[in-house]
Amino acid sequence: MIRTDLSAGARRLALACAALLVAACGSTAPSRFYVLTPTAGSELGASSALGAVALAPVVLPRSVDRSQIVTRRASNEVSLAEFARWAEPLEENVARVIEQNLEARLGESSVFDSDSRWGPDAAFIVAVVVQEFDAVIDGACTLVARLHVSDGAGTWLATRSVRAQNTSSESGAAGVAQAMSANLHELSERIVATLQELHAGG
Amino acid sequence: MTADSTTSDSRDSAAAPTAVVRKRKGFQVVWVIPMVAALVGGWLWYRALQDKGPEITITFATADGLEAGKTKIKFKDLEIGEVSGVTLADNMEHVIASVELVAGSERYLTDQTRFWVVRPRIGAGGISGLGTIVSGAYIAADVSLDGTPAKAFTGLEEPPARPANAEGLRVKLRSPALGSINTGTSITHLQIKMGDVEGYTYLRDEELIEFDLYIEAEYAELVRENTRFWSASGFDVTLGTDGFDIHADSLESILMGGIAFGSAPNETPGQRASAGHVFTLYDSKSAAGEISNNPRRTIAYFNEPIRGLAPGSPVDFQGIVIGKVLEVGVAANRDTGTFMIPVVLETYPDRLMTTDNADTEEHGQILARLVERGLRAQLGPANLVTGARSVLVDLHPDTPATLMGHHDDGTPEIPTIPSTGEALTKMLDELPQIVSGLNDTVNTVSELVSAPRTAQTLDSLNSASAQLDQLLRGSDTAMNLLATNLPAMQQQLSDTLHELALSMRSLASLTDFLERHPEALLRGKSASGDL
Repeated sequence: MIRTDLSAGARRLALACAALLVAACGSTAPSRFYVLTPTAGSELGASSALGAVALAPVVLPRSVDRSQIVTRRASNEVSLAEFARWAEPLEENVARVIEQNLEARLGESSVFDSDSRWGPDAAFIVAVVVQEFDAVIDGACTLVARLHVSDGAGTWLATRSVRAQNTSSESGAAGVAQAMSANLHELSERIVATLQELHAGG
Repeated sequence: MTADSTTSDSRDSAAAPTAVVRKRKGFQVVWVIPMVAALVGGWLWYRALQDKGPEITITFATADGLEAGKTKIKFKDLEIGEVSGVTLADNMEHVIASVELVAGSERYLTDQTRFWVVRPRIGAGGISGLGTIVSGAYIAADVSLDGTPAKAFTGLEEPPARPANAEGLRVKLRSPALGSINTGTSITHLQIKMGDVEGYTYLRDEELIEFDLYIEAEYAELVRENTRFWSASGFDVTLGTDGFDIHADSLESILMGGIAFGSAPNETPGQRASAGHVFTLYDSKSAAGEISNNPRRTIAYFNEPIRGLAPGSPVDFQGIVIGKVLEVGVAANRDTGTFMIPVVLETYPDRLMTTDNADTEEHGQILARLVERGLRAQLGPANLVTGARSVLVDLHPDTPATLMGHHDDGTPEIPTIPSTGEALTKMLDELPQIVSGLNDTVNTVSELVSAPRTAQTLDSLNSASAQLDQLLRGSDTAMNLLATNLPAMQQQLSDTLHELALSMRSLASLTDFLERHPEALLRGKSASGDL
């Protein structure tokens, strides 16, 4: 009897170990990577000889500047998507998209990184500080940013607050990327409008 | 029972008992006790009387520190009595302390015995009686077996410097002024304290101060009849021909003054001074040493201005002051129309020559002999600060002895030679020669500068500087090349930093995830709840 009991316990233990082993060898789901994109097919706007525009590095809230896509779950709670990630650091992605959008509107020889060594003396320096990068799964994604514009010598000219909200037709993380790309397009348009206004005024 | 009573009755009736009164002989034993008590009491009373010492009275100016039944009388710190009462004198001018002394004190109660109150005092001799701050004042006694017996005493207001029977030497010292000397001022010899000033009195007739000095017994023999006493008080700043001379004795004497004594140089010690010998106090050591018993006059005629020489200027023989200038005059020579300056010197032969010579020979004879051997007087160099001068007397055998012989009172003359200052004047006469030599040197330098060789040298220096210029231009090109390559390097550096930032970022992401899902190490990421 005792022997039978022992062998029954041993069997149970072996089973548990095997189950654990199988569980441990469970494979990780594949991650998906997303990028923000400039608006395709934007018409070349009236390039009213604004002069060279230098774009300062974009600043994002630390909470969203992660490789994981950060979405808002409740009004004061966010969630990090471990399997849906940004393909490059978000600050760089945002800066590049804005730069490409502006290029499409102002002409390819007009927009530069502010720290770039290759370029003419800038007529305007634009700094973008993103205050809110609020992504909601299958909902409206909001972007709130502040534009600081100064002349080539660094003298401050104007500050504008921009708020853009878009909802994508796609669902999931791809929808977030698409809605945010649209927000960045609106932001770029606003930058161009501000620059033209300042150019006309000054 | 009945039978017994019957028999007793019968006995009573037979012989009636009569009381026999027996007279007790001797005394009752019980009386021993009061008698012993009386004897003991009497003996105690006798002892008390026996132990009771004499009672005396001491008069003090104030009762400061005196308390009946508390203040002790001490002799050599041994308690010899106690103040039994303090009363005011009839005339209200002082207080009278009644003192009970221990038995056997009678023999030293003489009129020489002194009493004083010991309390904290700060005086010239230092601080004393500090112990009484704690213990309270007491009356100290200095007893003497000499003198006539006494019962009433007058207390001293100041503690006596030393016991009356101290065996040192007591002498007097007279001074025209008190100076900084006070009771307790030290008397030193070779800066060793050998006694002190016990007190001083003003001598009305002589207009002098007379100090009472006490010299310790072991040093008494040092005080001779010709010993000099001088004031060693504080600083002694002398402005003489040898500049400022600042002299100070011990710190104590600086603060409180002092008297020093010693014998004059080259003087044989005299007889031992007896008690009460009167000395004179000199102002300073030099003043004490200057006085010589046997001054001699000598005259010297100088041919040059004697500016800086005045009565009192020292006469110096090889650095030793042997006398001083007495008077300075001017004498005209009518025959030659020149002026001479006669200077009368007072010299102390005791300092210059052995005394036995002085005894046998005349001063003039000795001087003549010395002049023969080259003794000359000369004006010493002027002191840079004060301009004062001295007369130097020394042997210059190679110089001529020119005697003027104008003296008529028999004062011996000492020939003079020109002073070193005079020699300097002569040297100045040679100055034009030196200047012309200097001029020649300047001319030579000028020729050297104008020579064609100098021009050549300058030319080659010029070409060397041109070459240097070229070299600098070459280095400029190298610098430009370096500057062109710099941006590429900068770019690489920037890229490297960017990569590093990305690595840190992914590392942060990993640690952040592992912190939240440590099980992912074993089981991998779970997709539950993700997008």
